[in-house]
Order: sequence, then structure tokens, then C-alpha cells
Amino acid sequence: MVDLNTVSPKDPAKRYYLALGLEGSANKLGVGIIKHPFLPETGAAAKDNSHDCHVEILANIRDTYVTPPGEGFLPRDTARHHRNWCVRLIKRALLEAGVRDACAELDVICFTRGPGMGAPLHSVALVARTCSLMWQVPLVGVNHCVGHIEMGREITKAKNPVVLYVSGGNTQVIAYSDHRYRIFGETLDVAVGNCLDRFARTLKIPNAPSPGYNIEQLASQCKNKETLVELPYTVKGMDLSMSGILAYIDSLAKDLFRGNKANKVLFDKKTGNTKVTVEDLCYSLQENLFAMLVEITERAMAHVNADQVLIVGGVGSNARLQEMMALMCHDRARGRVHATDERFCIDNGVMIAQAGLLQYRMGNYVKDLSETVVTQKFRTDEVYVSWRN
Amino acid sequence: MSEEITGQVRTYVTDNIPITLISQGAEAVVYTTPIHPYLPIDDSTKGEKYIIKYRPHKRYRHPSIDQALTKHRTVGEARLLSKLSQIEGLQVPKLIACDVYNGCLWLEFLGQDLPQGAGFSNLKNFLWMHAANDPYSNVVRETLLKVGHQIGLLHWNNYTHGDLTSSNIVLVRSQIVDGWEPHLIDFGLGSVSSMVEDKGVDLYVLERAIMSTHSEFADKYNAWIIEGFSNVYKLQGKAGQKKLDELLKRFAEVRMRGRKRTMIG
Amino acid sequence: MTTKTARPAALDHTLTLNVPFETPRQALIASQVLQPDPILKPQDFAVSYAAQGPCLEARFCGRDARVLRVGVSSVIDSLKTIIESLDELDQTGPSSTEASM
Repeated sequence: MVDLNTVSPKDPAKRYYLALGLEGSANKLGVGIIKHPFLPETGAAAKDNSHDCHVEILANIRDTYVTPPGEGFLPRDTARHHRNWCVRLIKRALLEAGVRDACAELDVICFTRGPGMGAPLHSVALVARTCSLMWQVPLVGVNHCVGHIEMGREITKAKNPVVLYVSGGNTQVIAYSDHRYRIFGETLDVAVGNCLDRFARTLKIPNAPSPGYNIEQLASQCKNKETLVELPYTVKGMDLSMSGILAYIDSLAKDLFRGNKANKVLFDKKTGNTKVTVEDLCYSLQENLFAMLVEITERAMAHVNADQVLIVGGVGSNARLQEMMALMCHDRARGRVHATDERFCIDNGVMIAQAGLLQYRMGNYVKDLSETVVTQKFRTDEVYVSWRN
Repeated sequence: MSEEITGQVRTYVTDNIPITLISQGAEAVVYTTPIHPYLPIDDSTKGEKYIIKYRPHKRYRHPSIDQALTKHRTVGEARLLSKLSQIEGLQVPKLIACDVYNGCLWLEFLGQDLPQGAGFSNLKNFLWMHAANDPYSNVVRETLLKVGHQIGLLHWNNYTHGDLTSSNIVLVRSQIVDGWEPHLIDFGLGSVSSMVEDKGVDLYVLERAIMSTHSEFADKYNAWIIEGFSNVYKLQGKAGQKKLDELLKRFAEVRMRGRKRTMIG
Repeated sequence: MTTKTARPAALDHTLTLNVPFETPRQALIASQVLQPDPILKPQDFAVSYAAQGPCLEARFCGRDARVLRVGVSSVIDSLKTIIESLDELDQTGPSSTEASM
């Protein structure tokens, strides 16, 4: 039994909660404002309704720090971007949501405490602390991954799915058990999004709207889908490793650009003609990486006997990954795959507000500002999930 | 889904070979059959059962990845089993036949039904059966020491199992004394490895599995398993003790890291 | 006494900044916001904040000029963010309510 109404709304007469969410753990700065109606059925008599809060999204604004092709984003520059934009975004979000008096109307301010890049996280945390003190609104520090999971559950209404969390900084297969989102399998080195980003950098393709999206487009243009470029397949039990794959495909791309005819994977031995295009490389990379992701997800499903999968994180908006996951789920248990669209897959402030508001409603918010120090490493299973059975 | 897969297997083994589904994992489905693949049906094979382990085709992945993986893993498991069966004292199912291109292994059937309708004789059911009356009885202790012994032998010879759980340990009634002989099964994630890390993770996975399914008595059960495990190493003298210390130290580290928490079930 | 020898001679490069705010409340908020973050290398650099009336007093000390410069400039970056938040968002706070009354 979980009572989501342990804390009453700021103005009991209004019968709803309002939360501001601030996200800035990587190159995206997001500000979101959400509303949870005060529902009697989520109160003491309720079972587990944390996936169905009837959330209303009043504002969801994002600004991405985009770097030129071939370049990644550095912590310092990203932090500067967030500092420059954070206040402006909050102002716009408040305006869009029709919040005129933040002090009187907001129940809670939620911000990303980690994991992510230290300097950008810190910039946003400063703003969150300042707003909290000047408006006298409580703060909640949110785990970024839990934010993705809770937003995904709320949007898709998936009650207890196995979660595949795939983004630039994370690759994890997660299942809920006993008040924790437990990590079943994860990457042992680079994250899948990072792997795609870095390959995009080698290919010198644009970073806008996102490197992964551009790789997906190139992959779909592949003309020779029957033949794959053979890449290492590195599933290690429940975990996977991607650094070897990245190093290898990077070297192929470089040989291709250089016209290194000695490489017989790329060039015909006799004629010297190219056998493989950039599109082929993108296609093969996707097929290989995603097969690995789906496989470890299936392992977790078999283990916990689940029939639903929820894909969250930036890479989750990839249509091919969603298609593969759907096939697996169908064949496995006539199960379903849930994926959110790019508004929610990609880092945003709404998801931080959603997870933070759930936590707040359970009475768990910052009592001392020393609890708001950001942390680059913050494991998903460190969070005590009080809002679920 | 299993009907579809069972259909595939039926087409593959033909109607002459009846099959019964017994388990469906993420990677493979397991059937029993009364037919031996090449021995004639006579008194020696009558009433026997055999295992068919089939790795189904996965539609979600590219055909060339699928074929390569199925072949590689079936070959890997077959090779591992044949090597393990040569280790003295180590008990694993005998490999009968293997068709790598169709992802099929034919194995010896191990185990039986436990008394009092307690189900199939894997370690999980065995411990549950005993939990009801005497969880710390002598037969439980003896069996768990032997389980530890089996894993000790596996690790001492530089192999790892990769997925040690109480349902992947099957007990067979001893022919000589009154008791049970544990056999390790399902080496789908097994490998040749001399790394302490892999072995530490192996032990940790089993510890978590015991903890999640038999939590009340887990401390003692795990201690017995480790006792049996350690005995294998200690028999190897100084070098064995040194390796054991190193391994147990890593095991403790892996546990501290708290990764890979095995779920209930 | 080992602590004294382990601690390098002194953090003898010092700087004190006095940052004026519109109200004592704002100065207090700024000091509270800056306070929680730990210093990465406390043996090389230290900082303390105090609100004194409408002023924020920040005292820095570092082992050398470079460390001091880097530390001070990062705090100034943070201060700019805080001040912008106060300037731009405080209208929606109590002051505007008071003003409208």
C-alpha cells in the first residue's frame, strides 16, 4: 500500500500539486512544469498508482548545446551554456504554464542531482537552490535515470516493465524489486549513445538535431542490408561492452576515408573497388549494438517473468531499436514494448519534475541544503523508491 | 510464442521423435524426449529420457548475426561440456549429439522427481522441501558441501558457469550411499577463464540466488557451499590456499560492489 | 603536529570580496546557496561566505596565485548565476506580492 497523498497540496483548496523540474546533466537544458491532481484514489487506500498520476504537462522547454560536426561537448562550455540559459528558460516556462506567483503556487522544485557531468549539474543546482530559498519552496534532488523511468511509466502507463535505459551516458537494463530500481545488466565501458556520438564525430556528420538521429538516417539509406559488416558481438552475461566495437568501426571508417586499399573488409582485393559505404557502416553498427541491447533485455524479462519493456533515454527514440524490441516482446510473451516519443525520450525537465514530485508527495524532500550537492556518479539502485509497492 | 518454437523443433526432429517442453529461457528452450538420436530402441534405452536444448531463431536480429551467434554458442556449450566431462569428479550432463547449424544439443537427462510431490530434483526444490521440516538436517548439509565441491572443481580447473542458480544445480540420487549427487547444468554462459573476477561473480550470483529463494536459511546454506568449495582448493596445498584467499577476497569485493542483484524467481 | 607539517606552509594568498545586494535577504540567500558545495582540494584552496547586512563577504585563500585565481573566478561565475536568478525571478516571489498589496 502506497499513500501518495502524505503531503497535502500547498493550497489545499486548489486540490493539485505543481512541480518545477530542472534538468542539466548533459548538453540539454530542460525546464518543465507539471501538475498532479489530488486524487483520493492515490491516497491511503490505493495500491500502486505511481504510474498513473494523471500528470498534466504545463510547460516543457528545452535548449540543447550543439557543437560543430566532429566535436563533442565539454563540461566547462556546457556549464556556461546552462548558466546563460537557465533563468530565461524558467521565466518562459512559468509564463507558458501560467504560473504568476511561483512562491504561492509551486509545491516543489525538482532538479537533477546526478549522474552526469559535474559542472553543468552544478550550474543548474545553483539556480534550483536560489529559487527554493527566495520562493520558500521545498527542493527535491532527483536521480536522472529514475526521472526517465518515472516519466516513461506515467506516459505509457506501463505498471511494472523491464526498463532499458539507453542514452549518451548510460546503458542499463533495470527491473523494479523491493523499493529499488535494480540494475540487471549494464555497459562495462562506454554507453551506447556515447558510442554512436563518437562514431558520428569520426564520420564528421552534424551534431544537430542529434548525432544518433543522423546515424539512424544514414543507416536507413543503406542499400545492401543483406550483408552486414561483421563486428564484435560482446554480450558478457547480463552486461555488455562496446568500446571494442567502437574502436574497430572507427578504424574502418578512417580506412574508408583514407582509401586504404589494404583493408579487404572495405575494398575488393582484385579490383580495389569499395565494397562498403558509410551507410553500410551505420547500418551494421546499429544492427549489432541493438541486437546486444535486446538480448540482455530479454534475459532480464525471462528472469523476472515480465512481459513489458519500457525504453527510455535519448537512444530510445530510435525507430529500429523500437522495432527490434517489439519483435522480441511479441515472440517472447506476446508482450508489449513501450517507448515514449522524442519529447520525453530526450532529457527534459518534465521527467525530473515527475520523479521529484512523486518523491515529494511521499514526504521525502531536502531538509538541509547540504543534501543538494550534485554528484557525477549516482547509481539508479541507490534511490529508495518509496512511491511504489 | 512457445507453440511457434515448438513447431519449429517438431519440424526439425520430425514426428518420430516426441518432445515435451520443460523450460523456456531467454536464449534456449528445453525439451525431453524418450528417443536417443542414434542408439536403437532396445532394452538399454527403453524408459530413458533425453534432453533436447534448442536455441530458436530470433526474428529481431539480423539473420547473419543470428546464425553466427546460434552456431557459436551451440558449439561453445558443446565444447565446454565435453571438456568438463573429462574432469575427474566433476558432474555435468553427457553430451550426446550436437547440430550447431540448427542450434540443437542432445544431452543426457539428469534428475528425478522428489518425494512427497516436491517437484523436480533441482537444488531449489530440494531446499524448499527440507525447509518445511528440518532446514539444517544432515542431508542438506552434505548436499550443499557437495555443491560447493562441484563449483570448486569447476573453478580450480579454470572454468566458470556464468549463471549459477539453485535451479541450475540438479540432484541425482547417489548409487553408492544414501544421499544426493549435485550436477551442474546449463553452461550456456559458461567459459574458460582463469580470472578471479569471473569466479568471484559466479559465487556472488549463486549467493544472491540462494538468498532470494531461501532467505531464512541462506547464511548457513551459503557458508556450507563455501566450505565445500574451499575444501577443493585446500586439497591443493599451499598454491591452492593462496588462490583460494585471492578468490574469496575478490568474492567479498564483488559482493560489496552490490552489482548484479539477482531477482526473486 | 603531523597535520601542520602535512598542510603546506599556508594558504597565504588571500582575497576578500564584498558583493553588494539589494537587500540583506538576498545576500543571505546567496551565502546559503554557495555554502554547501565542497572544495575539491581543501589543502590548496579554501573559501568562506558570510552575509553582512546587504553585503556578501567571500573570503578566499589559496596556496598560490593561480589556484586563487581559478577558485575565485569559478565562484564569480556561480555568483553571476545567483544574481541573475534573484534579479529576474524574484519579482514572482514575495516582493511582488508585497508590492501589489
